[in-house]
Amino acid sequence: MKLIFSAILFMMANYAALAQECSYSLSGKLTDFHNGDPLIYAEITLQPSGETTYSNFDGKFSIENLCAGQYEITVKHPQCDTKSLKFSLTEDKQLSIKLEHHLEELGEVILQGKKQLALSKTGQESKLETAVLEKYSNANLGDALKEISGVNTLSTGNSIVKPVIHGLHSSRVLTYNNGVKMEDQEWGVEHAPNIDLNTAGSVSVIKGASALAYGGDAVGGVVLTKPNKIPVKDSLYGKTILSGSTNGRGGSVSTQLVKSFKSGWYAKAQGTFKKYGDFEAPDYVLSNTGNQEQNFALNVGLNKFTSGFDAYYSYFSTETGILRSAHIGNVNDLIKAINQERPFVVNDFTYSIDAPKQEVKHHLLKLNYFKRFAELGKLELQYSYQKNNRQEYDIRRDAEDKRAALDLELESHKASATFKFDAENNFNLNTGVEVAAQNNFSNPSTGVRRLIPDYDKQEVGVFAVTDYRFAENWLVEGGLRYDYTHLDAKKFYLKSRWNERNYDNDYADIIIGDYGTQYLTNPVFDYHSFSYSAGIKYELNRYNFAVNYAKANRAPNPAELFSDGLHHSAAIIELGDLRFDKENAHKISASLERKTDAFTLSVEPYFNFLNNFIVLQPIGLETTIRGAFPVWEYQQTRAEMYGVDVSADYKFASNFLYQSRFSSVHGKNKNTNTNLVDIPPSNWSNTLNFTKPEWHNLDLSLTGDWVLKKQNYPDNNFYYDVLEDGNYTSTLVDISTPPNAYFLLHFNAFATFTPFKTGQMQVGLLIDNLLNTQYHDYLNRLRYYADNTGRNFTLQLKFNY
Amino acid sequence: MKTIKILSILFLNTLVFTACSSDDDLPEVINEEEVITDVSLEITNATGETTTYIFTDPQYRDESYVSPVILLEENTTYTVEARFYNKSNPNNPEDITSEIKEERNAHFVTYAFANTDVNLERIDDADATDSDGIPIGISTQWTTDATASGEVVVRLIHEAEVKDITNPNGATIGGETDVEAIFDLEIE
Repeated sequence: MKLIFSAILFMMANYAALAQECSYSLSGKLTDFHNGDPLIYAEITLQPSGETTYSNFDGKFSIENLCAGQYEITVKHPQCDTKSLKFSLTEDKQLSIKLEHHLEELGEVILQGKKQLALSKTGQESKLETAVLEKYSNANLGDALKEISGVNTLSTGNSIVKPVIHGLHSSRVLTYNNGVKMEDQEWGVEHAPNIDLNTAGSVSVIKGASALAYGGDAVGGVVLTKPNKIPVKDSLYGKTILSGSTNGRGGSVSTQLVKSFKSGWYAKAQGTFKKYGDFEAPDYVLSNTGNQEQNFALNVGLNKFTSGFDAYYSYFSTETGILRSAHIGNVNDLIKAINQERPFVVNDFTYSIDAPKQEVKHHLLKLNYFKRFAELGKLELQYSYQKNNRQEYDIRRDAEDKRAALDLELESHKASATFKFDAENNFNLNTGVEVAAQNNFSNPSTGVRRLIPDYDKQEVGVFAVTDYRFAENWLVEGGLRYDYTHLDAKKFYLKSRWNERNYDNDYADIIIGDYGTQYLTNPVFDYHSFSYSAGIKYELNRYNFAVNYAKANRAPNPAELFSDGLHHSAAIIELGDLRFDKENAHKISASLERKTDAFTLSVEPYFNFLNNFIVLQPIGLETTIRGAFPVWEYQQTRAEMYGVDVSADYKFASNFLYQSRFSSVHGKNKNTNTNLVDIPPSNWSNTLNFTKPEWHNLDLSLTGDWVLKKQNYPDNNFYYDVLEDGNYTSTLVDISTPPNAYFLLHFNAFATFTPFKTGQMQVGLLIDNLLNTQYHDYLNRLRYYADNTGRNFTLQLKFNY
Repeated sequence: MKTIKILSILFLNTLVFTACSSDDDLPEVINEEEVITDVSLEITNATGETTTYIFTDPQYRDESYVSPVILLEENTTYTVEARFYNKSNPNNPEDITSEIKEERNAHFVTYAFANTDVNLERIDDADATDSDGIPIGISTQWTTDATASGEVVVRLIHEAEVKDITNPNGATIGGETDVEAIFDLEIE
């Protein structure tokens, strides 16, 4: 019976085909590639017949009365790439079509300029978009990050600028450059991140360790620079920014060119050149503060939706002069420097850069491969290699001796595999494993004892972070991470220092060589760290409320373990300690947000409990043949830090926007019951912005930065006997009193023109420190020696083509 | 498949490029070249008798080190030669005085007497007189006054902005202190 029925059917089909009878049907179902969800209201067009229909609530569609033949079906959905499929119709056909839902890319576009809780859903996170970053094309990453409430900077002069997040910096802030964690001797307070801001399309800051995928040691936070997405279509486009500034009498050129193909292939090249001479304070030239930078980056890759790869190489090189007057000797020199009105060395303006200076070269190579699995998630494999060469030049006795005083070469390899399960709408799980190997080499040809020793470091990390939307307005987030660090160093100690530190009792077994006045030792350390975080978020109409708890662990850095000598620019002796255990932080943060089109308010309080917190504490004076120096010792202590970041945007008229940012942070050393040093003073920044799109996109803004005098600072002042006219006089050495409050006014103006057939040109005028205010910044390490920079006019031209 | 091939080629390339950096050897010892570990004052009296007093950096002292106490007679004149050494490598002690003389434009020695009266004169030869005609103070002549007990502070200043010999003891503006050695001084 069955057979007969089939035979009849077969005959009928043949007959139909022969007779060109048009009675076939095409039906199908459209689903999201990621999670298998039906795609509703997609437009389906069939060629050559020309029928159009739409998918229903189940993602289904059907077209009846089709003739046999060759067809091409095209499916369009607003959130997906349009997909076409060719097929031949000889019978009723059912199609199952998976579409590539562009959720991530969409997120980038729609949420531009707004706060996007993406990397850590319950932690505190802020983001700077391309338009903001472009203003800082001729400046540093740190300068741009200051736009974010709760981020301050720790600087050495004006070209070496480090981000400070909630009062923490250096090893406590991880910096990711295009998906790679920077290994650029970031422990040093005078070591700025080796990143060209122009390579970034956006920069995100996570204030705290809530984003465990980036590391369990982000006691302060994470800074992530990300390039802009390259579209999957045939195009060639580029951008060039030219800047010229009066202060420093220099400028920068940054240019990039992108070629992309519909097939998913892309290539990008980017380069920046910067040159400045001596910068100027309101009353004098800041001699030897010039700066030069040459950077480039190359990027090729393939982005098919289901898989792809990305190969990225970047080179960063900088030469930065350090204020000549900041190079001093002992306490007597320090007293003279603090008490003078002007720096001792004020020469005529020059472009040349002499010692003391820094020269840094950073190579970064990244290879990334990803594959998406339908209804499961995304696998990512990544390998990165970095080579950082840092040379610091001091003033030598013999001016002809042009060797660096510090010459470090740090090579880092890292491989990682992550899998992101994102198929479920309400549930995400991100897991990963990382292995890393690092070698630090201090070049002995400097003839100066090594600041940090040669070492090998291996690290392994595993993590899992997850979030779950358990009710319509509620989301929970949690993460776990384990890190293992193995450090094997070869370190020379002067015998006198070795004994003074009492290492002769505790570490006699690690001595592997005796060189007269020095021992060679082989310290080996293993650190196991467990980090975890948890958070919850409630969303209701215009309100968001989130609370997050994160526990971070950080292994001591090389400076904290091994420092044992004179720190020139600070004129102090710094002593590390081999006995240190890892530092850990328990941070509770909350975010309260109100968001409407006209008014946005965000209030973010936090509290950070720190155990084994490593701080530099003054412990007295040490006399050397160069005279007396204050001795600062790294100590582990219990500490507390707390504060609040507030930001508000108010569009009070159609063309006017008022923005306000306030942040305040406090830090206490609980063991000594004193305040922590170098905690940023409270600051309040207000901007009035006027935009008029009809007038060539005119955009005017006036910003007032008000920085208060730091109130809660540790008093590390001391008295020193100065020999004057044959008698010793006890003299106060005031290294603690913070500078007075100050107010800076800045003005920006931008307008866009189209003088060419294609593309556009934006002209910008930026005036920093409009009132030429004379001021000292508490977090500028050279504040004892000179004023900060004065007024600066910058003319900026941006071409998009 | 193609992508994986390309990736693996890139990966192999990197391995080849980076595999060459292996140094399991012990790091080379650095004997500080920039430091001055010892300052000596060679003090000669009228009869040609020379006594040498040596101040050593506390980090480089051994057990036998005794802090120098300069003994002078009242109302007497002495010639004093300052000498600077780097003995950080015990096998190769270096006398840096000649280097300082060569770099005489960038160096300046000052003397400060605490609680004692000594009249100082700079008697440097041409090899220790800078291009502005300022004797940098390697060779000096001291004339003591009355009995007293105090100190003399010998400083070597590098790259001073101003070398002032209005008072022959010497004063500076700017520059950094390379040496600040304190000798006890007894005038009897």
